Amino acid sequence: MGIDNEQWQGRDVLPPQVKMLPKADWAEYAQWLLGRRQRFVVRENSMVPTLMPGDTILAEMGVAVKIGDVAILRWRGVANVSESGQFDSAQAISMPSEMLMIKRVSEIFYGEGVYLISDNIHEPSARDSRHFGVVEADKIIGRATSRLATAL
Amino acid sequence: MLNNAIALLNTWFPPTEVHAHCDGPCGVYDPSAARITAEAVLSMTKKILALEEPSDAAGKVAYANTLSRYIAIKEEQAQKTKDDLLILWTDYFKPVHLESYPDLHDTFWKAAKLCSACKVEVSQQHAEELMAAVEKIHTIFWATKGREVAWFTAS
Repeated sequence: MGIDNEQWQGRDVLPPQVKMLPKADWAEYAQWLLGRRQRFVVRENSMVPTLMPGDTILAEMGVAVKIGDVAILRWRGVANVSESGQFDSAQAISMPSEMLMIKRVSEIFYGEGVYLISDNIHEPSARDSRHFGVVEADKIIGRATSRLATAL
Repeated sequence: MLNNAIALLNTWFPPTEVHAHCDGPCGVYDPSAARITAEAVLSMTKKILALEEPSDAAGKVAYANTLSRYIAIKEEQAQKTKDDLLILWTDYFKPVHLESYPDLHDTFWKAAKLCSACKVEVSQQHAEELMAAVEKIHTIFWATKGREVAWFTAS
């Protein structure tokens, strides 16, 4: 998996503003069985130490997010064309045009725009609102409620 | 046991993937960030080498303060250069680029090594070699974009 021990141990030493995602309790399982939770698997490591790549989480869909929530959003990637309008094969590789992303809600502006950040402060290349700006609220499709299973 | 059950469930009924992306989905890359920080490393190295130690006590304090600041900035900017180069190397450049530039990996590896050397040493030669390496990366980067962007420095 390529995750070093230091990152894993970091789960217990979170900055105070970062809330851990709780382990799923019986109530969460009940909500899941009732179809009120959706199951997702996390990829990549910009949400370490809150979420490790491979973690399975439950999320409540179609609800408004609050500051501090872990949000799931629909992200439309850059078009696979360069500035000159030519197809850019370098961009096309491993870059789906639309995908789901998971990020931490840092600020909400007038209920319209959401500023999202990554929990992983040790990953300078992690991309979030610091790079792509405020995300429209209608792009947020749900909020993570619990960790169903850990990857390690 | 519950973890195993969920893992089994994931195998049979794979859940939707959510990406905590560390690649740059914005697709914005520019080697000029590395150029600016590498220039700062060269500038600080030159200033450290040119700094003369005074003999009086007050002058010694000011000298120690200035030297410490120069060293701190040199180390910080060398690390930033390394970070920026590694992002370009691992996130922007793709296997297709290696076909046109077979020495790409070697170029980045040596450039990253030069960043480390500039942090550890006070070497004008290595700082100048770092600038040359960043210029080479600048040329390769813009060639892969099919654009001609002139190399220039701030100082």
